[in-house]
Amino acid sequence: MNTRRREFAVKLLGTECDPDYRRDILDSILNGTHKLAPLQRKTPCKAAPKEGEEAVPTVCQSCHTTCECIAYRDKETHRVLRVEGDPDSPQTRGIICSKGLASPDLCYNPKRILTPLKRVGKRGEGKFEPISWEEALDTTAENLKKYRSEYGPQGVAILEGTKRGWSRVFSRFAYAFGTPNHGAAGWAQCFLPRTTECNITFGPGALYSETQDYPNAQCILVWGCNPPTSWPVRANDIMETRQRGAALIVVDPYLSEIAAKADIWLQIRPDTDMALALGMLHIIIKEKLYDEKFINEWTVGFDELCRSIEEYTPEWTAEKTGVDKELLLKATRVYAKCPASSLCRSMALDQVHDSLQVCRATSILISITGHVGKPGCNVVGSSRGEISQNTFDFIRDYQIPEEVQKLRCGYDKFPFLTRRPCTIPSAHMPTFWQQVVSGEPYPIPCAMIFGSNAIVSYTNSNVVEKALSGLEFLAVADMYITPTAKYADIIFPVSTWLERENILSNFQTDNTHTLFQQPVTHTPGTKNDIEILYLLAKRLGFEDRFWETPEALYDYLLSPTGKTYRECVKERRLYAPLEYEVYRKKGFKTPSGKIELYSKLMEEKGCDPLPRYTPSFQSIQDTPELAAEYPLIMTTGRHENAFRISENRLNPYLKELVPKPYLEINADTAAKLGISDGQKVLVESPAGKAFAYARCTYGILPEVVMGISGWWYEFNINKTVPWGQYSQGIGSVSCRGYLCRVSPAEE
Amino acid sequence: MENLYLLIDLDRCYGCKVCQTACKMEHGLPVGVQSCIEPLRHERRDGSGKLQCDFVPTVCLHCSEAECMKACPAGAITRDDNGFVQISGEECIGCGSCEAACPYGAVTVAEMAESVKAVKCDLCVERRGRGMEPACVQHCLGQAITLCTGAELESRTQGRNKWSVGHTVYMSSKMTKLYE
Repeated sequence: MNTRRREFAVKLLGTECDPDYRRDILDSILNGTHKLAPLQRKTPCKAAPKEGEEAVPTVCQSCHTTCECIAYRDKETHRVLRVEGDPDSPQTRGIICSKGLASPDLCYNPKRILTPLKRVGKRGEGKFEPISWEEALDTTAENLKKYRSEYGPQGVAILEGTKRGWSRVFSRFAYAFGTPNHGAAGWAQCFLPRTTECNITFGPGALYSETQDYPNAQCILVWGCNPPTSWPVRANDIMETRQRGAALIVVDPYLSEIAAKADIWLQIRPDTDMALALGMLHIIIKEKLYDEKFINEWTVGFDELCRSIEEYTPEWTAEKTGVDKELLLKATRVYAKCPASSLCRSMALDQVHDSLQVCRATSILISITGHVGKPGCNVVGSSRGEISQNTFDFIRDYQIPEEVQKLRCGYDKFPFLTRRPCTIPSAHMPTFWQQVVSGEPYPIPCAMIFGSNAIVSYTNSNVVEKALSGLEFLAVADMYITPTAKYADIIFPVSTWLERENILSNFQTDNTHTLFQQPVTHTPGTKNDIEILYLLAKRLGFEDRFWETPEALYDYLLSPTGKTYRECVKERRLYAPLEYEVYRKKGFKTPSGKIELYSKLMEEKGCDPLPRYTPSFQSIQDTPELAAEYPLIMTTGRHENAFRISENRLNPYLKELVPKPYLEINADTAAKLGISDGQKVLVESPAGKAFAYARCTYGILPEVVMGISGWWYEFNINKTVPWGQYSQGIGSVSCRGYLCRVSPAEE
Repeated sequence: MENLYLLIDLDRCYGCKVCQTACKMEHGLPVGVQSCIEPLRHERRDGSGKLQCDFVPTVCLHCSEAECMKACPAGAITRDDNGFVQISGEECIGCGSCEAACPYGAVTVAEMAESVKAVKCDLCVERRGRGMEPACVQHCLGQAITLCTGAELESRTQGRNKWSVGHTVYMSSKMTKLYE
């Protein structure tokens, strides 16, 4: 740390702040006179290579945002020299984040695997020897066949990581192979509660309420999401609109980058999101801040909703969430009264104890205020002409016979995860891992994991590690020997995004564009997962349903447009305008044809038809015995600007940005525990322990600590996340609000 | 050539560190060498006791009275036609006098590919020669950093609180007194 820089920053900022800073924005929204300043965009410019370089336009896939970028490569060798934002891109307008900028290391890190490997030491020891692709594929296919015939398809698990260009091909492979035990570390923990909830509330095809019309938004409510570290284009959009005069309200237990810019920061206690949402609904209903015309025309269940929120008064909400009552009232009034409010929610809502229900509650909030489909709001139903693998027709989940589906781990308990309308009918992973360990009610001795560092990415990692160590056969596809790959029998070396084709077409990328990634370089010895799946399918006898090359797959997906992948790469992007109020033409595809505030479907499946408050599984008030031993509330799952989940941990440029696994802790709490800023600490819960380095802040409540997930080995905070209780219907683990204790540790 | 200014809007900085990485990659700075620009987070209580959290991209201030320039025994530090302070790589002897002299921690002496050199913000002079914006300006997620002419500086800073000792200008509406 350069102390002169630090001293300068402290002096520059000083301590004098304007108490009326941006106050007029909130006032003008409340009195109905608010206007945005006109949008002024930077002039686009062309990327210019240095001598001897070539500029290759492609799309970064360091995270789900997938920013259009320019990869500069050596003209002769095609070695990637730099990756930068594309100043000519309508999607990014030139930005990209640190992960994208530091991407060349993905290809050239000396630890990258460049040949298939076979285990030679004990399982987990990490000793491997190189083998041919032929041998790796043959061995894996033989084992998949062998375990399927000995244990049934349910004895072979097919597991993946975050979404890539091959992800639903992988699901298609799992269902073609016949296993009901297809799953991922995310899904119930990330994304599926939101998408499934949208299928329930707005109907299939509503394409998630996550399509926000930021350029026209006068109020942006960011809930459980920190775009500056995890969603660069969104961060850029939000700042642009904020500077034009939009109000920014942020719900976060921690003073995050986005919270630091908020006009109203609602610092809730972790995992009290439902109380906040219900409290807001109460205020909106009692103060008649709702959009009556929209409710009458486009929703069902408003009367039942009104009856159900009676008890959630502002006083009750303030007590449950820890948020100041006046602030709560003001935030709710601003959000509801503003005619153009966008709600930006993300992963935190998938990781609370009532994930599916709290996602429902936020969609109800959008709906009763009429912030649906209108300019500046959540443009539910607008299509960017998705070129999507995310359809039931593509994944062909129906190939699994019903009696086999019923064997899917968690089938009895989690109807909204293990079958439709869940967008990827899949296994409940905590149930799955415990079953791998116990062998009950049936054994699962074989697994194939693509693109997932399971030991780090799943919660309660000690159980996951135990499960992996007890497998009889494990094949892993990855770029590096991760802590998970160490347990493999066979490792397939895969290509990086800089070596791949892909089509990026979803709400996380852009509201109006479909983007095309193209290979910038080639690394001998590695393959795209799509090719690996084809070669395995060939050995298993169902290659007719797969694609020999990624290009063949993408041509197939593009066939409805009449264009080929190559043509699209040349054009760079497909455009579809944002469509407002699509429901006026098409309605909602729910059983009622309207937005289902009250959900009969939820009721039929044994879930609450309307969201209601239930206490966190663990809390200081509700589980006092546990709290006596574990007095702090842990919230984890946040991403930092250098990393997405467990990726890029070997990249020295990114490690330099965030050199240590920090634990955010209130400075007064730290002092009481004898912990100084930067000191190594031990975090313990009944599930396990992990180390971290304390970062003292006043941006977190005294009883709360925040761990950062994704760090490997002894710093893996997921080891402390307990299992046993899961969210209703979908089975999410609450990693945003469980009890732990923190103590100083030896360096 | 006309005067140019690096204008930093503190109200727009998220502290996302994208400028830091963009700068390192653009200048090919090795791991372990400080980036020419580095945003720092700072929490404090304001006059009314309210918690405030802001971010400062710390960077060369391109001072009018540049201590580094005065300290350089090799005469390697000069002012360019736009008013920015530049270190000539060819003339730099890597002695570290500039690093010691800079009150703001903006200069560092680093082992580069060929030799040991003083490194600091050069406003991406080579990159601008290719018709592109400085790397930090182009990539900033909050569009907090801009490069502007004197006239643009005047219009963009109108009604804002500002502070500068040279060609880097910080501005804010939130912070009423910059540099206490």
